[in-house]
Amino acid sequence: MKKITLALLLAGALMASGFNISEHGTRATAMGSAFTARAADPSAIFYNPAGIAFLGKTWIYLGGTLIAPSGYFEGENPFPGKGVKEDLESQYFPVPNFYLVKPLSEKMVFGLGLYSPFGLGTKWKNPENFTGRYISTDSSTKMITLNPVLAYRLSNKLAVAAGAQISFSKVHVEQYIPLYDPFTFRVEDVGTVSLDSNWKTTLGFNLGLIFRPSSKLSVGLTYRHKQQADYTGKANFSQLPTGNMVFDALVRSYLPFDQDVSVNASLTYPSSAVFAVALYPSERLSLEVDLEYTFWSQYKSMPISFPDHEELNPPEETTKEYYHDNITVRFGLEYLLKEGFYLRAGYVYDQEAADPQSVTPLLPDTSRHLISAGIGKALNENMYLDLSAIYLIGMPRSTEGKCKYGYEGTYHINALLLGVNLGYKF
Amino acid sequence: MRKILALLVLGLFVGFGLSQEYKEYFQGYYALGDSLTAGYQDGGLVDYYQKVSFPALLAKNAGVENFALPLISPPGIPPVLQLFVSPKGQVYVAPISSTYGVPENLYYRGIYNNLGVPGASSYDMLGTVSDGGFHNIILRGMGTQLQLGIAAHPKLITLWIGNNDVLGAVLHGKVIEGATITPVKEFQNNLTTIIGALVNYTNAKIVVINLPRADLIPFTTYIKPYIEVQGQKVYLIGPKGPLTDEDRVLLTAQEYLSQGYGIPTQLGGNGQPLPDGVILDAHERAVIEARINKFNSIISSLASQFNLPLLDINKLMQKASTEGIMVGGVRLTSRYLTGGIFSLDGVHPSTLGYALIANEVIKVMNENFNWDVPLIDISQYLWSSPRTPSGSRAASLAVKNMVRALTVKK
Repeated sequence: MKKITLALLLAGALMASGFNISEHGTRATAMGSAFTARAADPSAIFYNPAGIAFLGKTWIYLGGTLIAPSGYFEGENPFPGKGVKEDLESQYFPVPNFYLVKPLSEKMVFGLGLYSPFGLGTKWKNPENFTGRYISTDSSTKMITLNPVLAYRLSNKLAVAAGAQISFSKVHVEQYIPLYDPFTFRVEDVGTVSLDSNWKTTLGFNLGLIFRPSSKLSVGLTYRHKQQADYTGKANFSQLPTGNMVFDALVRSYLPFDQDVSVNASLTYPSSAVFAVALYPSERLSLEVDLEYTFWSQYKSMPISFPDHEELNPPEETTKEYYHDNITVRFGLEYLLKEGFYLRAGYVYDQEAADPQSVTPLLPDTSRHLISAGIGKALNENMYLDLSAIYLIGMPRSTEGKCKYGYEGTYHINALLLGVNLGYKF
Repeated sequence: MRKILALLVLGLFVGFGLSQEYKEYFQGYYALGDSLTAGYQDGGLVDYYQKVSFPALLAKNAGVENFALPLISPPGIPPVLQLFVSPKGQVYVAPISSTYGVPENLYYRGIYNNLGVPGASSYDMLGTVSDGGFHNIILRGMGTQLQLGIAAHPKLITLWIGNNDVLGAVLHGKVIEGATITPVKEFQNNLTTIIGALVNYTNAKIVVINLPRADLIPFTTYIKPYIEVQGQKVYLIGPKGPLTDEDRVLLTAQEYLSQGYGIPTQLGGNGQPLPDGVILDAHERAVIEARINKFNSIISSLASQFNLPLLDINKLMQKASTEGIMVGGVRLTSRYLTGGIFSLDGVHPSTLGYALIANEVIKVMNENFNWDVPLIDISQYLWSSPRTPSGSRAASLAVKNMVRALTVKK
């Protein structure tokens, strides 16, 4: 009897392609992150750790990307209805990165990376009137990954590497709680719930290989293993009075208001693999094409449970996720305009990973085009600066009347990404 | 250039013609059925609910302006139910008034577009003109529901009949062949005649709707067959002794329970059994379920025999009673009072429930007739109601004594 309708899904938020950050070094991101075959600076620790085997010196690379998503949603019938428009709140997500490369011997190189592979959020304007408020009004995730790697140069043409990915992540979701009121014959907002997970440490690994058969050609392969996070956390329920004391008392008997309620959730961060080819037509120019395959089908469900309040557990059907593996194609080029000054440009097509069932206000996943540009400038003998700008154009994404929450319409998401990194070669 | 322009204009015209074709059909839309077609809700038939009956919702959605309904003034026939709170803080369901509404549209010149007659069985559709009740109000002596449905020269028909061929057994807690439940052979004959006549004597496009599981409605599921005492189930007492998990206690048992019937003496009851008429035992449930399934297979094979699209509403309602139906993150279920899909009578849908049904009809029409009817915007029925809650404490006290009390159990 005491079962209340909770659509909530802790932290599905971080899972969409849209929350998967690929920008972990400004030189690479200026070229659409097509960097796995060249991997010619310390951000190789993320893009392809085998790349550091060829760097040959102690090198620090430090900086970050500022991500500013924007967008809106247009409703369709049957819910929330044609004519409904909802706007994303403007948010700025700083995504820092730090890399250190240190040769241990002539052939063995150690690298240490610190970056943030997930770290975005979706926040909707006017949450109290947002028509998707029973799904999510504000969701966000933070993930920081520490990535020590060892790279080994087998020959002047071939290097391999392996690293451990030690990730620290947490998630946050807020939503409103609806309940049908038999006194007023309509659905009322009876409360809000805010879920916060604890920081969770998870382990994964990455592998890399670079093969350079000639000075004109480089082939790169990298693999990042999935990470499974089993979160614990707290949910906080607050009641919204409806003005009917009897109904409010009924609601209070259903929900554990104003106390810390334990919550468990788990999710899988999928594996990915990249195959890349770079060409060096001249000494000044390099070109690269990367194909990235992400095993999103590993993300099958987002189980959530309240160990002390089993009646709140969402039915299994609603925790199911509908994702498919996707392919991202990246093109990038770098041109040495004059000594100490590089021009860079790139283009990315990132295919959607979610089926329409899983396209929700929590994670409005969509296919995207990214156009990038940037420069690299030597500041002195040892130090240099990279700058990048990316414009992300999300394809309008319709739920096709199939959203698992029954929230139908089309999402329009864009983003601006600005990057800066300083490099220092000892 | 001119040619291109002409082609463009033609294209627009043709495109318009195709996408709007359905509107023409809806101009001649007649709905045949029972209370579920009539828009019966909260235990009565009343104008503000008749206007959100699923056929009326469909007609409005298709831009039909003069969809004729056998409107009945508030408080309805019978007066609709409402939730009341007693001075002691107990919540109970009772009619809003002791007076009845009256027909408001009795002299409409023509045949009502919504011909659904509350209480009508498959036999009534074929054979009943007058019963001194709803048949008289809706058919007005002009013929049977089937005859009127044919005489109206319909272009589009929804046929949803058969619910009352089993519902009596559920409501009365008794399976009496030929009285509370229609024999299979008779149902087969009735449906064959009805569908055959509609196909042969009209040019209408026809959508057939099957029967939801009447044994899964909140009327049967709300009151548990036991009382939980410190985590232990103490079973209520039925006519054959203690009930089991397989038995269902009907909503009508509330008045007996409130007097102590069915409750063991150690829990403060009088130890006397509940009457048979408020219990659906495991055997009765099995018979009813099998009968509904049989009726549905008859409906399904007739639909395919006559090549008519079938709406499997049973599937939707079963989903409502298990995982629920998601609307904007709200999980609507068959739970009594707060589930959102059923009205206060525990038998008939709420406005939200009827709107969900209407959208299912649209989906079947679009799929089978190659139409492009837009789905109905549910948000207006989620966040507002065609019925204004009266909330009048005085009215509640006035009728309190003549009603059966329903305590909202946690």
